Amino acid sequence: MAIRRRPVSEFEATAAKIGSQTVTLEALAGGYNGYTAPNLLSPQFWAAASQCYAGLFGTIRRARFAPAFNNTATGYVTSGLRMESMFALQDITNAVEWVLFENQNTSGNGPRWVFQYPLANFTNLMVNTKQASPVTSIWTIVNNQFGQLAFPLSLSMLAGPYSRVTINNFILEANNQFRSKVLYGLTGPGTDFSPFFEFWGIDAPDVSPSITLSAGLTASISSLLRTSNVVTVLTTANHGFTTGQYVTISGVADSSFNSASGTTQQISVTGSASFTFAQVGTDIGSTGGTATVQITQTVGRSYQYAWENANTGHVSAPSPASQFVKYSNQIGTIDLVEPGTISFIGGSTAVTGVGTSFSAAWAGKLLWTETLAGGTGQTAFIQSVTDGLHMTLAAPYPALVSASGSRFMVIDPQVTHVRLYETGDGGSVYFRTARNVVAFGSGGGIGASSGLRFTDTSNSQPPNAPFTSEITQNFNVPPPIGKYVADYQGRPIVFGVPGAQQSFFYGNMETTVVGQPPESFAPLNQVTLPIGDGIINGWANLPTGAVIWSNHQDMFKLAGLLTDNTVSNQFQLGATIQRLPYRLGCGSAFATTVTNLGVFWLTGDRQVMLFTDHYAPKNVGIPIQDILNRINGRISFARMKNYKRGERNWLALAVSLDSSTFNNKLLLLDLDLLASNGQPSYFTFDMATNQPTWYLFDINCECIETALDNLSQNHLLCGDVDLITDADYHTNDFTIASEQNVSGGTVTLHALGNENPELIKQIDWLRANTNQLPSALQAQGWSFGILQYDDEQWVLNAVNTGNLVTLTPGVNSDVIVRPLENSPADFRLNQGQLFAKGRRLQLQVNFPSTPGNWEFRGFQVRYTNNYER
Amino acid sequence: MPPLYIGSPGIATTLTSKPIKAMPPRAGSPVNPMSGPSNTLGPQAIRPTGPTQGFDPAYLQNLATAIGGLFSRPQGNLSFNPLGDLSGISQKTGFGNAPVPGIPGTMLQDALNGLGFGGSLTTPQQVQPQQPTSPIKPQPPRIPGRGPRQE
Repeated sequence: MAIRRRPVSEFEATAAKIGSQTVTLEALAGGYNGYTAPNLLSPQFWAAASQCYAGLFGTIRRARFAPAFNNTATGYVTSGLRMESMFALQDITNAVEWVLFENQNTSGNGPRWVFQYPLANFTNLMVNTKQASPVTSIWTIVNNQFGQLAFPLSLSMLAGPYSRVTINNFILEANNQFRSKVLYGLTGPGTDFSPFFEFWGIDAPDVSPSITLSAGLTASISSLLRTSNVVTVLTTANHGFTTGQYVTISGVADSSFNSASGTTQQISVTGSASFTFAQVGTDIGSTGGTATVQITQTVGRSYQYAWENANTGHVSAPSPASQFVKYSNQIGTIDLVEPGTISFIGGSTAVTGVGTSFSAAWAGKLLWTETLAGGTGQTAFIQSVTDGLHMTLAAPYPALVSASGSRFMVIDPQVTHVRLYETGDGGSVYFRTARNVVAFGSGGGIGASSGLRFTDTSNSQPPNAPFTSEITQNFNVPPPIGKYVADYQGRPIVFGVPGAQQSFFYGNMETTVVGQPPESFAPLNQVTLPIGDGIINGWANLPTGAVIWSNHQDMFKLAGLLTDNTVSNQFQLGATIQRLPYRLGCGSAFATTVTNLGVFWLTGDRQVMLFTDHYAPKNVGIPIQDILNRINGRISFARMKNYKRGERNWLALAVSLDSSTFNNKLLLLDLDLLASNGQPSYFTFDMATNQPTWYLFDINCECIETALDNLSQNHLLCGDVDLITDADYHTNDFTIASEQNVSGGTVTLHALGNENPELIKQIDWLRANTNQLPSALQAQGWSFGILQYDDEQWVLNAVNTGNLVTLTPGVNSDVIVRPLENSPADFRLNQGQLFAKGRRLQLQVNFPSTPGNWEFRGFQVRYTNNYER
Repeated sequence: MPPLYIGSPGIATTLTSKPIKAMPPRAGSPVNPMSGPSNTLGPQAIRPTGPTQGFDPAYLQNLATAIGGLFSRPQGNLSFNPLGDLSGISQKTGFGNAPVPGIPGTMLQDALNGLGFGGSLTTPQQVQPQQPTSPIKPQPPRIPGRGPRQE
């Protein structure tokens, strides 16, 4: 293995001497270095470089780019807009890799897309087989009778860029406009198993249930017979009961048949004067008594209800409680409707209410209407709410369908069920007692199949049936809409909330007993940091805790166990947040990455820092600081990823330089070389014998992502206009089109003669070693160069172009290979018109631009120190 | 799959000898929570008011629902600013966590005081929209179900 660190003696003991000098420049190292004084560095160090990186054994390889996705993918409709975010995910269930990407398209198919990676056909929505599909559907597996439900709001709400985190197989998303999660690994209609999205969390119902009391029923019993723990009851007359109701049995001659205090029996009706119920006991018969279906309460019973998504196992926070209903030999009918009534006409999107209280929170939700004229089973989405009496639908009902004075309900389309909770007599705890399937189709009546009606006939008390042990999930409140998401200890984190830029909100763990903790944010689960007028602008997790940055110069560490905040426990006793003594902020919440060396981030001061939580942060971007200084006002769009594949272990940083309106420079830090070059554990560099190794790629990279293909090979993908490029293409990798030309591949070494510029030097000969046969170099397009510097005319680094001598194989050298003597890679100078002379001489390699695996391995050069001046 | 009812709809709707009292409509409100038959307790909505302060409408609605879900709504619907002073929906407290005796704040307290849902002696203070003073709310909202608000 080549030595990566130069011995100090190399720079101190070079004696000035007259005469011929022969040097072999191999194991070239260091990457781009625009910082260190040239006279400190060896000619075996890179000085300037573009479109190339260090290969094995100190070689230099030209970058290889190939399109992984472009406008020829079937199903994709070009927009001419730039991709702004990208996210790769693996659907383990279906053994498929997906890539999501977003742009700003607000028309047509919208800004969100998904494709299978590597590109392959998949069935989308039971109909079309395609390679890419827009993601604009909100639907659930159970409620897919309507197929795809088009996104009802403005497509601009789905525009990128997105911040995402994956927890519990949910991809939780933030784009500062819409609160969504992506589900995958599920099989939808037909064979469609492409990812789809729903609201993140379920909004709690915003209205208490309506309760109507009616008289109970009583029937006299003629006989009872218990057989095999089933009691058959015959009544003296038609009982009027219904299967599923709860009866109270009393006054039977054999008291074992009577209902114990606080209990009732759920019955199955077998005839107009007979019914059965389950009761454990000996086989015996009896006579007499009464069966009643009615409730009597002393203080009363209160109700709440909550929405449920059975596909994800989530349950919302409960509705407002009803007031306590004091039953007196009555039963209750519980209807889940909003206050007031609505009217609309077919073909119009306008909905008007009477006695209503429309809420702006309903945008994007489904409107269920109790009665429709002209058709049933219709659905409509709410697009916007003007005021408490007026709202607008995303699409009108059919022309002949209308409603007038109809009760209504508003439902999240992900809802599949509704759960009813009620208290015992004068109780304060709400237990679940029933669960209905919710159907979205309007106009079928509330008592038919909508699921929005319950009937309470049970005179029992908790914990007896129908009361269960499940209580309302008061803390299953969805998160606020923010700009960024992260995670900590399995909890999702939301920050960048417009109303609370100095706060972060975190998801539930302990207080969500039923439902999905990642979809729930207890209202007190928030922490505000003392950052003045700054905003939280970065989050990263180290083994010792989370590091949080502001956009200014604040850096905090969150450690310990984060726990749910409630009124009874509103202090984070297990967690601590301390301000770290470093004046370092974060320039982009997208530009933080945790690696095996620690966390890297781009500061607001345009530095790349490394923090291990063992030592103070280290500036590892010094060699490219001249590049970083050119990052323009789009610093908040900078992206950072850790790309690992084979011997690659790179930190990829995409930035926008100069006047560019998108990220146009990909900066790559070689993490393995960083670890081997830096002083152990400290990552300190003297910038002369060692330095962080950076590579510069000129590639449009507004968004970057690392994605695994179907062979579990990682790829570094860069998003552009209708194009995703694999920025580290390997032969036989997937590509949708031919490998691209890569122009501008070049590397310039530090100068020969830096140690003794008082001597005038003249190149005698130069031999270039590559991974190609010398005879092929000319056709492939290689060239080499010598930059000549006389310090008075061309000062190194002040005018860094020097006086260039270009060496073209086969043109400035022999065409024919003569073994051991001459070849197109050998250049004889100081003969005829071809000479190179100067106080300092920089050697340069220009790679071919055509597709291929081009690798430069070193120079052998002899020069003569002619005289001192 | 048919709904799983506790019982079944369609029971005779004969009024009982003890009908439920209707609640008076709230002044200025378009909503009459007790509309319909006199044995019906109408739906009662909770709505957030006041400036959004940068939060999305759904979050404010959820916050209002969570805060006010168990408090008395003698006038039907309840509107208040979930980011502001919550005294409009809960009664003043005594020292510490002690509620002021005799003034129900929650519907359970109403019921235990024999008020049922037919009426309440308390009248929630009308909450006015508040001007934002800071992008960050200094006091996080409380959670319902824990009794009156703690000062």
